[in-house]
Amino acid sequence: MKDEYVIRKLKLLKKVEPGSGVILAVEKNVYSKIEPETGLPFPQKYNPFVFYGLAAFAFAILLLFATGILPNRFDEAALYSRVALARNQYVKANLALSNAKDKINRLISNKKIDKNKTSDISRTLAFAQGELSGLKLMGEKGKYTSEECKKLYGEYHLYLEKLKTYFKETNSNGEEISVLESQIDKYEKESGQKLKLYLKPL
Amino acid sequence: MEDKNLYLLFKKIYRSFSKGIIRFIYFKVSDYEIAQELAADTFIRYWKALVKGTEIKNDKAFLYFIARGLTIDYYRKKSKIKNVNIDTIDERLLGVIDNSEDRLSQKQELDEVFKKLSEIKKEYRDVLLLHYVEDLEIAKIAFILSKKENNIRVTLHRALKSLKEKL
Repeated sequence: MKDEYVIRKLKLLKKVEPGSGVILAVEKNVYSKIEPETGLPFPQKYNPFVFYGLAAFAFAILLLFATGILPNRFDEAALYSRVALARNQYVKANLALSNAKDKINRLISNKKIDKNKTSDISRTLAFAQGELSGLKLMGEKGKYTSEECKKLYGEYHLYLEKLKTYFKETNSNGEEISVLESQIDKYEKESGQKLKLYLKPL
Repeated sequence: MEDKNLYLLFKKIYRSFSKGIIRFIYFKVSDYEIAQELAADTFIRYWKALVKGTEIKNDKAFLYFIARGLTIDYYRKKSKIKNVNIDTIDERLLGVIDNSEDRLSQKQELDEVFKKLSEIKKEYRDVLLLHYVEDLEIAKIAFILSKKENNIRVTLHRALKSLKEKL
């Protein structure tokens, strides 16, 4: 076998590349970490008092909006605000997951599902999935450990399985349920893959 | 360097090298999520070096140097995490061949090289990836691996031979 053949095979690996979505997500992750540490890397340095004042004002507007125009979304708005102000990704993920667990438990105890509930659960799961995906599996020094991360993923996986069982047992069907079930399948697969990384060697 | 120029430089460097960095790390850790996290850490460290005013002779080589260092740290911590045997490339990294007619055969070919590459020595794998996939010259690879250029030439020759035996 010639070297050229091996080199040709190796060069095929250039076709392996991350998608543009991932490139942007990693970029966003980088900027979120460097900005708090070094100050805004933009031409003008910011005045921290003005910044906090603006943040408080924006929060107050958000709350007014949520309670005034969408009163039934107050809980959601309150959750989003708490997550936005959480001190690290573990706290954010924990908040989002707790919310998802509460909703799943309420759904299962009510034994009744309708279109509003399916879209609410779908939104809740997507939010939890997003926050959990932001966790570093190895943990972050001074913020959270890999064990804590594993525990969250374990609970998440368990609740997704619980939800799947619920739909099976109640023979729930319809287009909205099918879409939700596909969403749950996808999240369950991803959380399962992450949990596999934590299995201790024999 | 002024803040604005630093930021623009960083953005340019990120856009130029992020794909290669994520790919290189992925081939070393075999996990797409971990690769993304380590890639983010790579660029954060690069940014810190920029802000500190560290003399960087070659941005690309420096980034791969950081990336390799972080994967070594990852392996050390990996005793907490089971080594999951991965034989195939994560589908999410194969978007570029999605619309090919012979997508399946291309994927099989890529998976074969990926698997065989993971069976050779780490040191050999690094030089092969850095030279043939990430297009780095011998001198730059020598910097990344903290070795002499002659050493890298010899290693490259041995690495090709080792992979040839597997294929």
